[in-house]
Amino acid sequence: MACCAISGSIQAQYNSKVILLPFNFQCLNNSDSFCVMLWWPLQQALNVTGNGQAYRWDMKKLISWIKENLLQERPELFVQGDSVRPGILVLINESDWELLGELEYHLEENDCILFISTLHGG
Amino acid sequence: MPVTCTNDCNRRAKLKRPKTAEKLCLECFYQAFEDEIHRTIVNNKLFQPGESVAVGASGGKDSTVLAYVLKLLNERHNYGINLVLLSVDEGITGYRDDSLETVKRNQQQYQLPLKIVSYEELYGWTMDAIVQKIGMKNNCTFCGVFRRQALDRGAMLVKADKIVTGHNADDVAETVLMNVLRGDIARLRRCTAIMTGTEGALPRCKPFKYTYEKEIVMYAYFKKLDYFSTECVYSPNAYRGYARAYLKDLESIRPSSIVDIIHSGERMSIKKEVKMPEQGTCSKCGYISSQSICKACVMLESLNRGLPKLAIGKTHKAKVVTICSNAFQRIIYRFKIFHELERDEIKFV
Repeated sequence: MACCAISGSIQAQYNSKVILLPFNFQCLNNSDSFCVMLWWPLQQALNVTGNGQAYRWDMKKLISWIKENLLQERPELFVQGDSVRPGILVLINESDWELLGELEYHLEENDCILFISTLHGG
Repeated sequence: MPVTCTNDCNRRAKLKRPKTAEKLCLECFYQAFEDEIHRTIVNNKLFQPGESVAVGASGGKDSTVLAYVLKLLNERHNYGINLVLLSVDEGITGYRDDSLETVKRNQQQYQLPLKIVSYEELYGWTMDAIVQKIGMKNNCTFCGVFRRQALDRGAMLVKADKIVTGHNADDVAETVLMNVLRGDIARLRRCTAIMTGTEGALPRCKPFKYTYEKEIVMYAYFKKLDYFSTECVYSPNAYRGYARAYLKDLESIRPSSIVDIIHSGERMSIKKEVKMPEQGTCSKCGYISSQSICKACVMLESLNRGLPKLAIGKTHKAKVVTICSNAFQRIIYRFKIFHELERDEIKFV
């Protein structure tokens, strides 16, 4: 799935503001899900947006950033419109993002965002 | 802004149930999830005490959660059933071999007996070998037909009375959609049944018929269950993929769509006058079949004769071709006109 392309870019992203960690729970030891750890200070977020205004990323921005910067192939498997493709579950700090405003959720420092795709095993 | 659990337990809500839109904490979610499956089992009288039940275990999320929940409920509510894990090894390198490792770990974790039956021992062909023969297209047809039978045969080997599979509400709704689109009335009627094959073959049931995929994945994630989730290395069933994407789009607009579609499927009835294909048994292997020879035997024979293309597509077409080719064969032998025919045609026969 799309996430395969992502796990391949862990090294490349290591020095940037977002670290991608392959999810390290034993149950999800493969490309099925991936975890985005956000740890940049707000100051650095300014550099990212470059507009000089204090701006915190929301999920919409994060998803489009992932699409632009991390997905190398077949982005349609991850993104649909502004949001993730239906069927991909999103957890923000171990909570369903549907409780937190989905795309409007504003990211906090040290948030852990997890995308779980609901693939068919068979 | 933390949301509190709708159940007034004062704990923090962790997820929204798609079916009811309740916001639940983990404890309340586990309880609701397990109770719902328990109610499905009891209301539909899926199990009788003393029965031996084979859990179709692929190592994927659905079957892993199924094995875990059934073991839990069996102990909690004293169903008095004996659970056995049953896996089918299709012989797909890089996919099934890895997922079987997961099943073997589950066997240890849940302390359940495990039986693995392989295509190779049942049919003499692994999927890898079949794909080599027929290419990347249409191989899911072979795999699906063989797997269905393999599960039954495996279940008989372990002397199970019943097979349970991890088909969830999303799967059932997809199948309803596909059968409507294909106009397959016979399957449409069967696909919503929670238990099938009560006459003759081993009964199969789907305790997750009303359980949303989202909840299964959440349950597996929060319980940290050990499951395997890679797509099969051979191209996935394209048609189902479209039905699935459509269903997921519907779900994102209105989460109840999934149970609504299942409900519609259940409510569709067929006039008594309509002649339905009768289910008999295969004259070759004795397995349940709507034709005189079951699909698996047709496919197997075509593989062994080196004509796998024949087995795909409508059965009557295959039959017509077989009949024609037999006639050709006789003519060829009778008039000894080998030299007048193209080599290919002879091979085709």
